[in-house]
Amino acid sequence: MMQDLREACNKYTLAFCVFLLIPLGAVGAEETEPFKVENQWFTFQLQIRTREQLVAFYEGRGFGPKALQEIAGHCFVTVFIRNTGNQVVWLELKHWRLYTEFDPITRTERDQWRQIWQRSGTPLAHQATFGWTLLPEQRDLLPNETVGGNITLPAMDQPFTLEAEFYLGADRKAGHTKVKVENVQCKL
Amino acid sequence: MFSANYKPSVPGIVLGVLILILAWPAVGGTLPKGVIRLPGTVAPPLPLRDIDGKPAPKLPIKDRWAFVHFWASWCSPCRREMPTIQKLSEETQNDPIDILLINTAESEDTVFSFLGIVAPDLTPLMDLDGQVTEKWQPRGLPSTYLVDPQGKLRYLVLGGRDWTQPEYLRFIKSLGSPGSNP
Repeated sequence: MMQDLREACNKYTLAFCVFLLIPLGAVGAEETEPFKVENQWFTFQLQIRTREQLVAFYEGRGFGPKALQEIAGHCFVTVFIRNTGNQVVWLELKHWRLYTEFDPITRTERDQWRQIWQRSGTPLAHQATFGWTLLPEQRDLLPNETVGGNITLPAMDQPFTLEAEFYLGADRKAGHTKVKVENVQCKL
Repeated sequence: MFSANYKPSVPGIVLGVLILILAWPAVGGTLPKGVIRLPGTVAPPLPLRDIDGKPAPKLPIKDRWAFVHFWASWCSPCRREMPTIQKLSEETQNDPIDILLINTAESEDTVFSFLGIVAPDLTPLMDLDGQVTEKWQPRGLPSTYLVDPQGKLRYLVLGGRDWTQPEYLRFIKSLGSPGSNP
């Protein structure tokens, strides 16, 4: 399985594959298969990380107890997207919706994390590393380009739905498509 | 352009074809996969020191291109790519290009123990707090910018590449060749 994952990561030219590889060694058979969608424009993959996996990753990069406490208070959803078509695919998190059966869920955005780190006196180096592990808020994904990273939301034990809408074409006018993932559950 | 009695020599034709092949990607032919042509804005500065404390070369570097590569040791594609960059540096030591590795936000101990194994001949520049990387705004890690001898950003290379592959090596070697017009 590790070999399969390494081969999969070869296809993803992004830093975030480390999340796919490192934690698996720790949790082995408990790891569930990632949710995956393939269409004519892109592949979309989603995986939930456990609190232990996330804390271990950032602790290994020297993050202090305060920062780790903030991280442990959130649910991290790891997303990979690869543009497999021949036109631009727009990743725009403002067009993504997360909701439970009854309520919308508010993501913790990149700017909010910046405020959290500034309040807790987290070193700039750790802020930078954390930033590189988040999914960009916006990216015009070029043909053959891959992007990956986490979206974060407050820790919660209810299942939720994620709807991700993508506009297509360099001018966003070649149409749009939606990916819907139901019954997503944080691993606390 | 040619006089009426101009007769091209065979060696001249061979040389011309060779130059065209080497310069083709930079002249305007197909770029290798993952390489994007940029409009040529001025490259941000690199106010950094290397792991030995020596200041980074100031851009632009006279008569030379700069291969500016952003990476971190925790990044899996960066780890795979680094040995191929070491190989690239060996293959291009007589070419007008300088390879500048920018480590993003890691400690000297971490970088030393990683590069000492996978690419011992490369000396990285240390972006200790990650702020220089923020100014360059790569689209992800790893990322590589190719800066021309006038200090302008000419190409962006997305993600990790195998620089030992002929298409990439040929492309890099074409940058300083006569007739290149990036």
